[in-house]
Amino acid sequence: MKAINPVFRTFVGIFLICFFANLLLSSCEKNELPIPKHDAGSVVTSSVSMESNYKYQVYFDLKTNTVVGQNLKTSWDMGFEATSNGYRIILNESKAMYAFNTGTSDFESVTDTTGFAAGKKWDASSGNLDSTAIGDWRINHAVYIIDRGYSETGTHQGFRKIKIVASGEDSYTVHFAQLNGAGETTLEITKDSTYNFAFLSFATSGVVMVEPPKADWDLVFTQYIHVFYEPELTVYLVTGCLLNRSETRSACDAQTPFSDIHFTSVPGYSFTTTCNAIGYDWKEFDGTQYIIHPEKNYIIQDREGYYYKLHFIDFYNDQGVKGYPKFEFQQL
Amino acid sequence: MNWCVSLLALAVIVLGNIGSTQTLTLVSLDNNEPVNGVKLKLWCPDSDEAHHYSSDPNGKIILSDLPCSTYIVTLHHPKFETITDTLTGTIDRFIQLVPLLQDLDEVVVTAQYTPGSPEKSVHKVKVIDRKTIDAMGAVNLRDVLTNQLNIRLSQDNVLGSSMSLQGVSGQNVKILIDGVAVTGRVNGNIDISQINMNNVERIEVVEGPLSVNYGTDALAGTINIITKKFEKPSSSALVSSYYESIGQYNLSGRLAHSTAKSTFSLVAGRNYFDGWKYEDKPFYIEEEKRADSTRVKDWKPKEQYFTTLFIGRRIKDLKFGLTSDYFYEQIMNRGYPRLPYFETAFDDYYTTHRFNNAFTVNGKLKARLNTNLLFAYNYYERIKNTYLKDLTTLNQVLTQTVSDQDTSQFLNFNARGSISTVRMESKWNGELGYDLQHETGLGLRIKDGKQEIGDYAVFGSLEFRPTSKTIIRPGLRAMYNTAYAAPLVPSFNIKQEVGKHSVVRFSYARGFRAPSLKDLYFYFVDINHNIKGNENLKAEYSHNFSLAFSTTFKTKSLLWKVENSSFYNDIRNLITLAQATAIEYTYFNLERFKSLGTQLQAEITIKRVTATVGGSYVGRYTALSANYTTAEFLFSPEGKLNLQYRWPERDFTTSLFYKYTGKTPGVSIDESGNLYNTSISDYHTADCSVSKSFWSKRLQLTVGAKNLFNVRNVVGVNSGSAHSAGGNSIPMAMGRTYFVKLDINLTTTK
Repeated sequence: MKAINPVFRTFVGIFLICFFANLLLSSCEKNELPIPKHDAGSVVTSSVSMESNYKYQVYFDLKTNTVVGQNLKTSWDMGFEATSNGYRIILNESKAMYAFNTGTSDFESVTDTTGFAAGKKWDASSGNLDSTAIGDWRINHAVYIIDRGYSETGTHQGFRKIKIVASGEDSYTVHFAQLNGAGETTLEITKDSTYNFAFLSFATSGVVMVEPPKADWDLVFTQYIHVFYEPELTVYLVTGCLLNRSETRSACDAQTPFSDIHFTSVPGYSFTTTCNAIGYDWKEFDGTQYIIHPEKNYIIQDREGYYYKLHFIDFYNDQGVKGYPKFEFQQL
Repeated sequence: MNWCVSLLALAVIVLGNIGSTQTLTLVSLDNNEPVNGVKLKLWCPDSDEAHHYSSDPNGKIILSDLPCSTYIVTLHHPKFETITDTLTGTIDRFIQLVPLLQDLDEVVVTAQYTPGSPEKSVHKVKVIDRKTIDAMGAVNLRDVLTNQLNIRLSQDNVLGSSMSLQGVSGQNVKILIDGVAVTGRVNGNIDISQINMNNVERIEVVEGPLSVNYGTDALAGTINIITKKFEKPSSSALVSSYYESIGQYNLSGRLAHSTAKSTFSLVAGRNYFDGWKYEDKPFYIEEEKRADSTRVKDWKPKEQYFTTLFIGRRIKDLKFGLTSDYFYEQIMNRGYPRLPYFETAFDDYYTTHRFNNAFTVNGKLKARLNTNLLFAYNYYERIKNTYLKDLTTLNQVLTQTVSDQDTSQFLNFNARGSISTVRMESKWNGELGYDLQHETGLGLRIKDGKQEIGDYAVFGSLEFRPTSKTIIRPGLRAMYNTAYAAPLVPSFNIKQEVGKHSVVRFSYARGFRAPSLKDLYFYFVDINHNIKGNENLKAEYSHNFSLAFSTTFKTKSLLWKVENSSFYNDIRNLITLAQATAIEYTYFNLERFKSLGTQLQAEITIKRVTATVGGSYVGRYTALSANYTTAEFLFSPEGKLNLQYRWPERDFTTSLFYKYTGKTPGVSIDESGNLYNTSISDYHTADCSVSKSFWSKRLQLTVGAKNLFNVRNVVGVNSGSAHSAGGNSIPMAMGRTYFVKLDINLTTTK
């Protein structure tokens, strides 16, 4: 075979060096360059922590930009309307609780959950006190079977039977026990009209303090029941934000950019007092993570008449943990 | 270089050897290398007395004391065409022998008693040889399988590449490396882009069940990857580099040293892919960029490191081999900057470690007793980490959400051994073997964090040859499994030669797939999920019928090979995730699946050109559950055309690989329980390459283009449902790319 031409050999050498250099040098992960931070301007940014399993209910006041209270969602089971003429009773829907009217007022005769699955009811997610699971208990003073729902870890909390004996201007009298009769208790629950409700815990068989006074807060971040009708009726626990049912109103504007909403825009909105007006759908789970819908702007009127605009900007904290709604708001 | 020397030597001989002796020099037409051991028979026209000669290692035959001036010779060698010629006088000659077109060296080992040619095998074994792998510029197993009939590939940007065979999904395909099962199935599939082709000698594909030999998963078929092991005595160093225009940069090296008795080889390399997104141009070099939405890639960047050590030794007729193989891969999935300010993103990293070790003994125990022994330990680990990255500072923190961080580990011990008789003269031969497996799985979503399964099997088969043209082989595998009631698996194969050129093969076999550790022991319960494994699952099993016909026809410079094969699979007890109660999901033996198909392939070799034309038509039938059945088989066609031109004298090869994948229909159930039709559009793939070696084959350059039809996403269509009508796009390939492959191979032969 003929000897290799020196020119050819040099050419091949250079080619090889370039080829391997290219392979080695351009085959590394390129660093990214940082992007500039946005300017928040005069908008207030705040966040609350429900923690990743949404175990806390967190009460927020817009005027003072503070968390005015929080409680474990498992700390209570039933709430009793606290105004002097109030008689209505709510369930703790953050645990997905249900009630069943047994139709009998004979407390001892109720010993199991017969009929419960077919006849169970839940509180309306609108917060409408005329459509609660318990309903108007005064009609026949029936015994209710209460499904205590699930803890934040998914553990079922068991059943109770309860009979509301009476309610007056100052208090309720309730009689409750486990289905087998254990832990039978008669309890007087005192009303305090500076609060929306007085709260009962089956865990302690006593009254517990839960919500802050009703004049101290605007929004509560909590889990609550939402009913989906597609493809079929499904009662589902969602995570979101509810209005204080005492004199707080809200409207939603998903068309106007957040920065373009001013006090002059307010007359154009129709406000509602429905508790879940803000609700859960300012975020969406895409299969791997929650995506925020910052275009959903909420205009909120607090109990003192001030207007605020608010939108959500995150559902994760800076450690990447979900359950930390983060939002921007500004008084109009 | 050797043949240059011999040419010079020849010149000397030619000039100095005029007389009553004559020298013939025999070289191969392929490469002009001298051919040793050519038998020459010489006789004079008027005499029956024959003289016998044989060529020496330099390809020379010296004919001395010739009895007549004009005489007849025949030249015979098993690898070359026989030449008969009449020679006159005493002039020395230089004779080129034409290699037989069919490579008699081709052997297969998958499910064989002893290594043998695919023509002799009772199973139909398809071989993809090294030359084809090189001509395709294939980096990994996925690349190789793009051109195979009856094989469909799919791509998940995070889980990797998976395949289906005969219309059956990849979890029912067994992938072996030198007979050792590849572990680490994610969602049932092995990421075939993690199997590198660097050290591969050939790939053997057997369609249909080989469950008698290889146990679970070998239902739709078996792919056995045979690595380079024992070599001729030599020392070699190879550097192999590969660049592809989408941003694939591969570099690897191989060192090997072999003596007559032992072989040592070490392979190490790195593959890097910088990611691809739909908008990327054909030639695109990544640069430092702002962390904006362009950070998201459709095909994720990936980095692989791998090394393989092989030590082999021959002792008498036994080959002892020790292989140790380590593989690392990291896939980076940069997340889309999050609304509303695009200042943070979730980035996922998927890290895979594979550590495989095998000790093998193959060969003859006695003259007529063959053995295959294998001890293997496989370790597989896959780690998922999620970081929240602040794109304004580029700081990142590991997220605290439990399900974001996951480590799954699988440890597998396997001991398999078999003894078979090799009695050529007898009508009866047989094989008896055992196959012991112990698998341990660890992970967050495995019940109690750790589970173990033992599988202990014995298998055997008999080979009966009533005539020299007929082989009948029944086989049986019996198993004991610690986790579930394992089935008894039979098989039955017949091979009949018809005439001189044709072979008919028929087989009935049971295939099965054992419920995986995940199917049995999956555990994922939190506030949003309730999915549990089912410890009462049975194995998926199939009945498979195959009929294959092949005919091979040879003339002096033409080779014809026509193959037709048909199959029918009926798979029952398919393991499916389904709702158990209002809130609980678990796995059940629910679905039934059938597939049938036929394929026809013709290969013609005329001198330097090889053309392969083929087509297949495969139908699938799914009974999604007892309530939902499709009325009929849904068929999908495929076609392929390969052209190869080899010019050995110039060390030049050029190839074209084309495959048409027809529209793939399917069915699905929507959330209200209604059946609807789906389909994946058809597409064409074609690769071409030109390869040439220089500098006495020390340098080999291959330049080519892949995906000539520029396939990127393929359209999937859902129709017939009120809710889900519409289309979606399925990632299939990364558009047309160009590649350069450069190998430097330095070998010294002793």
